[in-house]
Amino acid sequence: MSARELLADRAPERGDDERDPRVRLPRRGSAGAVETIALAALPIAWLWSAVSVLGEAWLGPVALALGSMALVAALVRSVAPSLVGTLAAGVVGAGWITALTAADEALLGVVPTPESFSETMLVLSRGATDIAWAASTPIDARGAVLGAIVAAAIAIAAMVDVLGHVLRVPAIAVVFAAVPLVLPIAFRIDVPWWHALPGAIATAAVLAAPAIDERRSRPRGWLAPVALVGAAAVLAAAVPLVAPSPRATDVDLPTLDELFAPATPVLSTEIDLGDQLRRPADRPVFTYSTTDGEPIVTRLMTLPSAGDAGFVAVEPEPGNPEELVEGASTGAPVQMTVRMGEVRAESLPTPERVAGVGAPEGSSWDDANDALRISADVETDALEYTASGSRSRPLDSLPADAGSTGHDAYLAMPEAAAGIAAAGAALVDDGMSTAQRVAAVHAFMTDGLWSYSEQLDLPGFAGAGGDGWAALAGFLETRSGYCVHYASATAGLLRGAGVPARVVVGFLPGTAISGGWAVTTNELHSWAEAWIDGAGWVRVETTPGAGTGAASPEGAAITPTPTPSASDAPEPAQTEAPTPTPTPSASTAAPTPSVSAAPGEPGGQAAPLLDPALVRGILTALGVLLVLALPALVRAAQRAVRLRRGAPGGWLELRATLADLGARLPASATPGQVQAAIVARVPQLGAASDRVRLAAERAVFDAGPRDRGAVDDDVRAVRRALGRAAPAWRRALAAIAPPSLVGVVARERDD
Amino acid sequence: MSAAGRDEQEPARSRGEARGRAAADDRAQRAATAGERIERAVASVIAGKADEIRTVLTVLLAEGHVLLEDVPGVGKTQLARAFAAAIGGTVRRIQCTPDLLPSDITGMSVLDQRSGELRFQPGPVFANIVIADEINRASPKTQAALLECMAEGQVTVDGVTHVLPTPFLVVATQNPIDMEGTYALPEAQRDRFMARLELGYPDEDAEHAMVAARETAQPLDAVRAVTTQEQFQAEIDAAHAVRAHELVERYAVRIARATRSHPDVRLGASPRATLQLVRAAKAHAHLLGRDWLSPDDVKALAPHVLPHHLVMHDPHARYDDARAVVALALASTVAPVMR
Repeated sequence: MSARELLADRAPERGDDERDPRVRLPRRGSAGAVETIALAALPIAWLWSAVSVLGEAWLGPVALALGSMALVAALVRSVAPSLVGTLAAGVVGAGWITALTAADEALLGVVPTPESFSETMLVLSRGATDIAWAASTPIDARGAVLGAIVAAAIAIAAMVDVLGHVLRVPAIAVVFAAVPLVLPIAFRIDVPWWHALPGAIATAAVLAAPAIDERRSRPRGWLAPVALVGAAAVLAAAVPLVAPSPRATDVDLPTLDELFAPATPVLSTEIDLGDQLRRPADRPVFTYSTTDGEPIVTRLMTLPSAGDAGFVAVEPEPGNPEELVEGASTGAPVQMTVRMGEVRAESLPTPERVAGVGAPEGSSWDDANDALRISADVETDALEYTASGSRSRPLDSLPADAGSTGHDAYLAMPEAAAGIAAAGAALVDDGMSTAQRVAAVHAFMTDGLWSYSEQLDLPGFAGAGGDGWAALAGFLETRSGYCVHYASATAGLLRGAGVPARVVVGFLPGTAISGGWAVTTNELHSWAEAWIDGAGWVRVETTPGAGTGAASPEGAAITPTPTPSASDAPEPAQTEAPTPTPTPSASTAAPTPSVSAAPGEPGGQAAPLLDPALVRGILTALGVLLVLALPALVRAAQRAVRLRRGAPGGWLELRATLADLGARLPASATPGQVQAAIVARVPQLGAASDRVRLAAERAVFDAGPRDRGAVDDDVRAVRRALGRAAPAWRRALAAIAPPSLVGVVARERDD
Repeated sequence: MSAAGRDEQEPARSRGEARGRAAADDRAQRAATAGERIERAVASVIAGKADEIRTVLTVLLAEGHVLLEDVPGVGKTQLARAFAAAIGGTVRRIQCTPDLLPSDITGMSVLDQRSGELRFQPGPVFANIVIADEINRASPKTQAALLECMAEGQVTVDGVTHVLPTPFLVVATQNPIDMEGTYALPEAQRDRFMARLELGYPDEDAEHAMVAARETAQPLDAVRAVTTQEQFQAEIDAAHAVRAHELVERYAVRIARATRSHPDVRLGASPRATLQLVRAAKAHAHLLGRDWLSPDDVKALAPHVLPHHLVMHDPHARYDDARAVVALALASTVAPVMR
């Protein structure tokens, strides 16, 4: 079709349209069809930017929930005011949240009741905690996590709806919708630029939608809106390319784990070599007593396989009830009785080398990972059980000529860890026995200066980039890391040196209490194990300060921070364990690595003046307040600048105040119309506003005086009266998100 | 303390400026009172039409001619006569009929019996205020003659040009064109009028007040001239001297241009219409006691000054359609923002 034909086709249509330009224009103050669709898609598009954290399982439920909300809102808006549409969408959203979190307690599965509401709150808080404490990404979006994601999406969608449809400030709605982008930043994951692309396109679409809607009703050129969307998308997509990587910046963002400290300790046994240690608040996990009256190291989980990004657990398999950890019967038998506190964990603590266990209800032995698995629905609080086993033999008591046979599966190393395997092989000679090889690796890992640090140079989830082994290689360069690095490096070097080895996650002995020991989340630890014929699995402890005997100066110097549970005991465990034991490495109970860290916290026996968590909380709250107050501060500065320009500035300020309070007058409004709008709201201040207007008109249209301060009192009086005349929610909104920052003049036509 | 005493205490250098300002204030004061006096006098005859009275007064102050158009009997002629009576000066009334000849308006040369010379006998158009009643009943030829006087401000008879007195203001009334026995004013001649007004029926109270007043006496008889011809001319000059800023002038121009781009309009507001708009707006500002022009003056007068200049594509379009076009032009024209 030629251009001429196109023109001919359009001509009659154009005539029809323009005969009465009001016929197909969208109703004044409401969004057109394209804008409505763009605003509905906006939250989903931006949620996609967090796909590297949240996975993709949320997409269907979120799309359904937000789609139904948008549909209901649009239907209601066709017959009722915009605000009613938002309320209807909110009701639908609440139904979705209830159905996903507390369907059993709700009426018909969707109508909230008091019981379902409290259940919903519980589930949502658990979901938020699970997201904040996720050990790896992408998070498995099911159950409580899915509920939390959908609830967050619905909250964002409702906010976008209010800003986009009721208040008609889509530019601000865009900012709120982009909140999910914070998630990968907080998790310190690089966001590939294409993850942010849908959000950027949706943003551009929202900004261009009014123009598109206008063109749908009155034929005009399409070049401008299409170019606008394209340019915005390119710009937004370019931002991640030029912006510094969150992992490369020194800025320490407040991470989610500080905001969502879980009420129940979460015992994660997954190792992430690339991330810094995220330590929850110190909470009691369990107490125990032993038959021989000595403390014991406990095992939570074994990581037998060297995976792509570090040592990992394998598929569980039901175990042999005779001898649970191979070689456990080679040492002196000891029996421990455990009394659990309330935790959320995949497995229960057992003696370091457990031989038999009176498995409590809901638990079972996992032979592949040497762990006492417990199902998630079992309440662990006050759970009691007894287990028998033995302690690992000290390294210096091993038979010097012992070998290792039958455990070649524990020698495999992945391609990515070839460098570490080679480094391990370089430490030993062909003629050395297994015990000598273990000693050589232990010596390498403890000789010289090794320091304990929970801060990494390049923090970030290894799972995101598969760079766990690279992080471990970096650790061997810098010789600075925490127990996970020492354990993984030792196990990796041992495998390279031809010794079957694996990584264990468990607890250090803990602090003494009357009749036993108390173990808290601070005692969570990991170490390497080597297989030696005749001695079984032997602990190879290399973390400074965790009983190696060759601790780094730093590890030895720092004393444990007193904890509430420690106050029961007169002294920390360090001085409480003077008696010689057959397993010195366990009983020395030097300051635990977790305690020896946290260099910023005040150490020593005295209680700190201010709880650092409180300080952090106050700082965070101040930051949030500042962000909330920022628009108001900008407005105040704007006001001061305007008033310096005399009466015209004062008049513009009055017009901006009107806009803030919801009366955005069209661009065609003359001073008289603005004045009429003011008088309609505050009739008693007609004279004052008239003085401002006359002075401003004289200054602008008759080159009159622009004396500073001449109208300030009148402007202030009118502003105050306007504020008082407006409803409270309008005033609050004017303070938090003043529409006049976007524009004083409404863009709609005044018909 | 006397005014003179105050004057002497003023610093010498600012005395002249202060006196100028005082004079301006004084003039504004007098104008407001003169305007109010006229409005009050007219309102005593036509009840409940304050806005229309103000508009007619504004146009007269801007030296414009007014066209009052409405159904018979709503007080068009009464309004015109009341203004004429209140303003003072000479007032003549022309009752237009189909057989009215141009010379009946302009006057003619007659032979002076005593001197034997041709002597010009001025017609009714030689007056300060001319009421042309039912102008659309006059034949096109006669209409043209009258409208020529309005445009030129002079009359040429037998090759001799006679200048009309100042102020020269025409208040024409007409019935709607669909009434019987009328000749519609051609567009070119409608253009000569500065404003066109409809009076509309009075509301119940106003109509009752009118009935009650007429029971005893004819109120028009009680109207006395509240200004003289010279005073009114001074008001006109003062209104003309109102200062117009470029921003406001451009605002008026943009409104006029907006009417030209409307798809329903064949001929938009002419540049003459723009001139008249600014002139009328100045009178509006003067009546409000200001000596500078505000965008609101322009906005207030545009609905009265512009619509009758528009020629629509649709031959059956009514006056209301033109008014809607002007309203749309006002709504789509960006007003000057005061910064």
